[in-house]
Amino acid sequence: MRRELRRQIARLERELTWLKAAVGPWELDRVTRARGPALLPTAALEQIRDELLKAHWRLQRRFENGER
Amino acid sequence: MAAASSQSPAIVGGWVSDEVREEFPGLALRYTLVPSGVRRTPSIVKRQLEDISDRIDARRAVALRSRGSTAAYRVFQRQIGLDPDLDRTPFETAIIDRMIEGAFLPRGLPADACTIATIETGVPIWAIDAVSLSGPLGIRTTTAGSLVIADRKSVLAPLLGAPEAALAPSRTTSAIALFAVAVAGSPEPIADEALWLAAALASEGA
Repeated sequence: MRRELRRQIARLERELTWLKAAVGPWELDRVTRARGPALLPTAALEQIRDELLKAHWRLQRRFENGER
Repeated sequence: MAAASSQSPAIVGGWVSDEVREEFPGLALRYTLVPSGVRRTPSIVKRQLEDISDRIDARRAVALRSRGSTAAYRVFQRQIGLDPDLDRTPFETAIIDRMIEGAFLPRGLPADACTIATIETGVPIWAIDAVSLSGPLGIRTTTAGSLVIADRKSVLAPLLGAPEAALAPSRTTSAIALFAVAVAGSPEPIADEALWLAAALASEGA
């Protein structure tokens, strides 16, 4: 479970980095609130995954709409 | 560029507590001691700063974020509850400074040595005064659950964060410890290469 959450977070962060470079290179909106550095409980990993998913969805739409 | 040679200093592998190792099998601490202190930037190091300033413009800087090692640290930051855009590693800080100031400006040694090694390899490097260290360095959690770099007695820095201000090298420093954290996707050999480069540069003109 935790390993799968970390894998999902890794994939989303890599894709977000690429999208940020394509849409707005220096976008500095905080995607997730500060929780660390720490060994996070599973619930916190789930929240980070969900926050990254929302950011990914938002940036993906901007990218598809040609926004820069 | 200064290169690792047969004179390269020994790189030491730090300890990692069991609970941390179990969660992050690829996590490692690497460090080395350099008989050097805070000095003005020698001309040879200034030339290297100018060289990377010429090579890394805004477009290249953005691309570097998705490079293998750099991306690996961003991923690891997320996995431990940090935001890589705001909880900046020395790599991100150096790139932002480069964009704002128009160049990698000299800040003296060992800071410039760490900057050059970090930009060249993507591996963040930190320097601390080695005199007050007690025993080998490692990675563990605090009682509050925070991930930290520590020696036998004290917490030295949050993991992937700036060391305690009292540990900053000064004009009276006679030896510094350079350390790097290896993570999944940016393994120990890359961290060692970064440390060799930083150590060689920190020793320039000493």
